Amino acid sequence: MQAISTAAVSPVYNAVDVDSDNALVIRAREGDYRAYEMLFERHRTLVFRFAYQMCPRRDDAEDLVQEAFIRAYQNLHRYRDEAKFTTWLLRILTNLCTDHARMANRRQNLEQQEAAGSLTWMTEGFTENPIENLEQERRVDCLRRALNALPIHHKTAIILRDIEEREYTDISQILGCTVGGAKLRVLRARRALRDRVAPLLGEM
Amino acid sequence: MKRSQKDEILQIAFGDTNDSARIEQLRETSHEAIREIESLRNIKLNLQQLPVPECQLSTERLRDAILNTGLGEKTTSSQPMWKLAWVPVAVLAVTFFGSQMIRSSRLTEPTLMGASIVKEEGPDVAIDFNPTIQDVFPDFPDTEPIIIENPTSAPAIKHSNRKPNYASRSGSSRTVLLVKSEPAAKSALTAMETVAVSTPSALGGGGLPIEAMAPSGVSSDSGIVLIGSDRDSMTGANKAIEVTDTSSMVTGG
Repeated sequence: MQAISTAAVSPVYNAVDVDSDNALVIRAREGDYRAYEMLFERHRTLVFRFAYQMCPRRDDAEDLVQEAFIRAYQNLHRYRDEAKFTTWLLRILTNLCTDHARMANRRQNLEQQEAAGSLTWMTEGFTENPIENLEQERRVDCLRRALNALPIHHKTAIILRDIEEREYTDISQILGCTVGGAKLRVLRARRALRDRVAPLLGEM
Repeated sequence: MKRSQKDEILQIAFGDTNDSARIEQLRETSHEAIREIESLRNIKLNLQQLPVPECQLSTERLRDAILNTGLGEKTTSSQPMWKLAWVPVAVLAVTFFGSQMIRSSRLTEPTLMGASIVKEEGPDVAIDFNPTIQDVFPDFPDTEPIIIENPTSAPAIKHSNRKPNYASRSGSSRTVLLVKSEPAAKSALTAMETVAVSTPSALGGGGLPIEAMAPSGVSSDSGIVLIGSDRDSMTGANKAIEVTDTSSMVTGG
């Protein structure tokens, strides 16, 4: 009775609720594919950004994002409302990226580095000063290489915490560990990054 | 610089700790630490500025991929099969423990064992718990004794040159039911099995009266002989006691 009266009094609340991730998930579970497309359009940028940081090659990242959304759709009935939908999605994507990285480590990734370099060259350009621009480009390139050289678990922790700026509770759910464990992983990953970046940048 | 201080600097630089007092203290004491904090902050800033191209994954591509891949388990919300895996295991366990219980109750050594009458009228076995000895073994011929071995299991009848011998063994000692004719022994065995299956505790110490072990259709004028575990000092054979009234006997182990 309480819910019925609330619904009758505040339709705005209901309108907001209908558009929430959980409501869209419920609709998609019931067969409304349009609801799932709304979820996809809402989160694809975030998911692609994460995938691209994990795997800095555009086509691979897009394939990973597509696979993550397919798996999420096929397993919607397993999604629990305890976690945010994006957290659950990023967990699926993290597992996919980990598998992908393991396979990629076995083959030569020269082409990957070239693709990342050309992308950097095309997209960089923060300042008008060409010398400063070059220096900034060098720093970003060093950082990218250092990040890519990290083990996949360190890389995941750095991207989640320091690039995507997720909360530790989210990170713990994505990585499947406790909050304390997530903090420890992030700290270790930062140590590893610092140790790799310092020689490249000639600092510290 | 100590490792703990390096970790603290990492946490300050990446924003996990915002202890301004501690930062001020570091600023006054260690210029190296402040320089490192600034450097790490730059790293974090550069990390967040790493270029990411625009996502070109379209809804149409995703829809085609989902259709090509299949809808998977989306519509199947039933319980997975492995959740039912405990059922055959449970059935096997119940069967095993049940058979073990019956077997152990059969192997329990009774102190006294005998037989009495089960008056049978029709296919069901009726057990008379208070018969007289006249009801037991009505047409027992007076022949050589036959020892019944393992009276609660399948009747394995052994013929020896010396004498027919059916004995029940349990552990080191044995308890033997002696009857005086082979047909009577068979009927006694059948009745005992019926009792053992229908009331497993009867043989295991439940204190069932010995009349419950009676065979059906045994004449009352026959006697039974019980052979105990005590040995005769002269002959070395087990001592036998002939029983004519079994109304006061109970079985138990």
